[in-house]
Amino acid sequence: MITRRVFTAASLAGLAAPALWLGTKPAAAQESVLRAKVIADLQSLDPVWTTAYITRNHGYMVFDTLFGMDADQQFQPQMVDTYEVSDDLKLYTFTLRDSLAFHDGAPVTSEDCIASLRRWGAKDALGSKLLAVMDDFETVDDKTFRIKLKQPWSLVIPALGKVGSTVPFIMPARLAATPATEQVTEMVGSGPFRFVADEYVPGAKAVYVRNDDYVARDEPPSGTAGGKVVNIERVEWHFLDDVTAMNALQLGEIDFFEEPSPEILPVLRAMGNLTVEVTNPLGLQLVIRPNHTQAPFDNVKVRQAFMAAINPQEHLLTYVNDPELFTQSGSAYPAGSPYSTEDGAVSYDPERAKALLEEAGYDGTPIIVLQATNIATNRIFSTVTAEQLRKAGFNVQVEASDFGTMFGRALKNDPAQPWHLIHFANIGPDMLDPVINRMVWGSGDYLGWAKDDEIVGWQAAFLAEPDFEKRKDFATQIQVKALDLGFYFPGGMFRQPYAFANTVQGVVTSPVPVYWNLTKAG
Amino acid sequence: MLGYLIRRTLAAIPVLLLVAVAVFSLLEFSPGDPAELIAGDTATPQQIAAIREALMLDRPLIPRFAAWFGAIVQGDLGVSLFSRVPIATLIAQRLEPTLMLAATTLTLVIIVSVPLGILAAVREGTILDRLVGIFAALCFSVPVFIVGYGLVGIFSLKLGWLPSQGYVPLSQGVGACLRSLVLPSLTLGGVYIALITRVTRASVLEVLNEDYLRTARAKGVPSFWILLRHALPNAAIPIVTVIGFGLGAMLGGVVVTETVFNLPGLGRLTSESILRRDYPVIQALTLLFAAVYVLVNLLVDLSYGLFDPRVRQWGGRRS
Amino acid sequence: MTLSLQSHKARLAGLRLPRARIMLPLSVIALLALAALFAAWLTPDPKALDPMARLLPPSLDHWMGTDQFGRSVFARVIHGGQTSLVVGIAVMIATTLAGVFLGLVSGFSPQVDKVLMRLMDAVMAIPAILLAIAMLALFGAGTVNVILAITIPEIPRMARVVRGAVLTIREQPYIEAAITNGARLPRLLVAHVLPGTVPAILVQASYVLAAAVLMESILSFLGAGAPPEVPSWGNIISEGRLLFTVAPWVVMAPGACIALLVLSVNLLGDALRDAMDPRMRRRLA
Repeated sequence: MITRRVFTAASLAGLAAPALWLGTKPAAAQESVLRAKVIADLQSLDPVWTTAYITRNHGYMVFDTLFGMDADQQFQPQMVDTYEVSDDLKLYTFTLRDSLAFHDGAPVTSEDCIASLRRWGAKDALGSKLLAVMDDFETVDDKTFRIKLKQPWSLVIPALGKVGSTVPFIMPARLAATPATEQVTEMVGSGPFRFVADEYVPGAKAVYVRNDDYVARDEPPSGTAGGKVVNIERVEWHFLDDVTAMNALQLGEIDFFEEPSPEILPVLRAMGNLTVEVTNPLGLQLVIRPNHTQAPFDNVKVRQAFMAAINPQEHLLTYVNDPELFTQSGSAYPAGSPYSTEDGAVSYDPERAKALLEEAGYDGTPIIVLQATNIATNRIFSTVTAEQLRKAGFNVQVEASDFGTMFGRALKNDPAQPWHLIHFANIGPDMLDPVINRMVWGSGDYLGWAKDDEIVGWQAAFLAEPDFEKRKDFATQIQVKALDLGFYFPGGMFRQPYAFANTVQGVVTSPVPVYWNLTKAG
Repeated sequence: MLGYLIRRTLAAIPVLLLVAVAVFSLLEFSPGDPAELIAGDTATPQQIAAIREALMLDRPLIPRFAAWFGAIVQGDLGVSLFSRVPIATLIAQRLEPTLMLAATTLTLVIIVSVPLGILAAVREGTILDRLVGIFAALCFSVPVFIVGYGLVGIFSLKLGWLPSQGYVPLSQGVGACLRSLVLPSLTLGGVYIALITRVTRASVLEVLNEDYLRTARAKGVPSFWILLRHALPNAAIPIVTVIGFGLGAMLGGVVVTETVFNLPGLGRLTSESILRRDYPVIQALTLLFAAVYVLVNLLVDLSYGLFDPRVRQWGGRRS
Repeated sequence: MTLSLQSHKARLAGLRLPRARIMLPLSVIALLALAALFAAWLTPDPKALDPMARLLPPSLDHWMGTDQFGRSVFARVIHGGQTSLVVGIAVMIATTLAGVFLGLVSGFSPQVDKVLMRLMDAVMAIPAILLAIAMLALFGAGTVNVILAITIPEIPRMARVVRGAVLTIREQPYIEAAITNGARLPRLLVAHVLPGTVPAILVQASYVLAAAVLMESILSFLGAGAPPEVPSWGNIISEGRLLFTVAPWVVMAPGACIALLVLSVNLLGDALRDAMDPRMRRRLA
């Protein structure tokens, strides 16, 4: 039968050319290709329009930023060559590097930077705070521009170099003119990779090729800072199911696996031809956020009871399994980062929790814990929290849905569909200080709606303070009060290694996956 | 016959219209929308409203439906809310893997089930018949994804004969393409192998027991040729019917198979769009599947004419 | 092929098949159902977690081992049986009720038939999985929604089966006789027509049960099924599939239960169908 003959011939052909599985172009057999399984499916390409992490990662491939964050959470100039801050701290002057150019050949100018920053500021929380405190931008010449502030603001550089969504990527002025509510679909940036639009299959595959005209900085790479030298000609991003990816990695069908689920790490480690390594030592923070507007969580004693009832070690052990991969810390700021402190950290005390509940006169109102079934961290953390709260005497109901629905419901805060607790796994860079860390805002306008005027005052003082040690004091004060008032529960930091073939070297230590500096042998 | 065809085609139009209205209403009455997800957790209500407006989600139901349906009829399927890629392009990109998967699965199923069914019928009542029955029942009972992972575990990881995932486009070689579809087809085909084996066996049995055939056999004419000449056309009708009705159910298996084997096809596009609430894509795909289903059943009806001369005479099979 | 009322009754009473074909699958189903019913007495708390005892293989302490939360897999599988069976049986009942109603009405009234069949065609044209995922994603994933989402696509087929049986029964002389005797339509339907449809309904219902249990597991696999706090065989597998190489018992136990239940139901359905089939009976006689 014909089918059988074709099958046999195909098997022979297949044994000879394993690289065909994921569809390399036959003519480019000599080109170096890296195939990666990425954390989520890439749907939208505009990293300012959407806050999705995967689009932010895509942004780092195709675009460049004025500043980057290195492995020690220090902000380093990237597109900026030199910069000056005036003595009164109200004037920042930036001079761009030479040889910065967009993929269509046009040089990067101050106009482009300013337009991009305006668009970013219309969307991003930190960006809009910056724009609010600014007089205006000023173009000095094609390579130099200024930011004029109404008052000193300590986070200008951190805002320009931030790694959490939304990142202020620099786009050509004509694309940045698009309102932030509409998407930019033309991928012209000044980054180290070019986007190959005709090979893009939204949700399944994205392809990038080396930008041969990119001039990297002269320093070693660190985080999103330093020299971005690309050694591989072609990078393919694939979105697959975890089990499928695991098999593919074993068979060499893919070379790089971003954030495998912790459950399969032992299997990956046992495979022998793989490196399993933590490239993001800062990690993610377990966040449990109560809804301060929903009874009984509007009562501070009930919130304190909740804080005391949580044993984050169980959460971390269940999700991450390996104690090497998590750090217990009660600080709102990531363990090991500049502002981190254990002052005011809440300890696990179920007896105290029960006592507080009684004092508060808890009447058994069901506590609704939201759960996003399709996000593993969320699913697992919320399950553990629910059980722990039950043990402390709360009447808990878990309400599950997909992430989108959960998020929408949380934001809406409709009293007809009440919710009390929501879980997040926030990347370290998003929690570094009391301004970037939205969970300790006292303004009452961020999801969860925690409010405290004293904290608002301290945050403003933090922003105006040029001295690091004094800022640290403010940060500590904010943490102590926020934790005492039950703003949210910081459950410590956990790390998720990447898995990649032994033939891949030079993986950069960074809080976001970056594909420069990688080499692939063979 | 032609009259029958035309009548059937015209009858399909209200069905498609109903489907369009149903899916549109379903999305309309469901809580939440993609604007919040896109806006992110620090979005102000104004930002969310602005996105909603930009995506045209804030207009009333009937004008929106009319605009959308009007566009569809003229061939404009719209664009994805998230990627802004025209839906027609999305479908075109994903069509080949799904079509190839369906084709190879169908071929595989027929090649496996028909002989099995005939075998079971000819050896009716024996251990072989029982075994085939149990095999068929098993194929039907084990969930699709377990079959998939199991096959990968054996044929890719242990034996290394076949790739564990990924689709090789036809343009890169028929052999490689087919090779990437072997395990997916076996996985997807399980349920149909069960159904069609059973249906074949039943039809062949029915024919085998006709008196005139018993007479022929008693006279010593080799039964094999009798089978081929009389039984198969008889069996063809139920087989083809099963295929027709089964196509709708097949999508479920297709979605799972494409996930397990990482085939960038329409099945995955469907489930991902739904979970992401990409309304225009969901609407377009639903209509597409409904149209395909209607078309396939029309073809099935046509084929009755091929297999059953009575149909050609009467212009239609009485239900 | 006469289908008199007497022969229906005779058929149901004197099944001429080997008893094993019916009793074996029936016993398996009954066993699973009983275990599920008495889950609360048979097993420890399926929610009690103990991360220090995670992923333990089956032992005397934990009959089916523990999952990644340290919960007893045995407890979850038995409780999961409750959910899966409740979903399956609820779908079966709902489908049967709706299908019988629609089928009876369609079978008897040609005008209603035309409209209803169009509607059924439209529902059949939408792939079941699409409808199910859409309903669950859009309206939330409670058990009731899962039941609804799986039922709706199954109704048209049941309606058709009933309608087909009704169309045939209508032609029977005893129906005419009943009408002549003054039987009013509702009594006619219930007392005379309905019993004739029972064999066909039984067979189809058994397939619906099997399909529902399978569909539930597929929906859970795709992330659109019953919420994981309420264990069901489908979502136990879905949560545990990454652990397959490390802790296969988490997946194998519920997987085996699904396969066993669906297999038994299918075999039972086949046996019932063969028992009802007059040609089969002729051969066996």
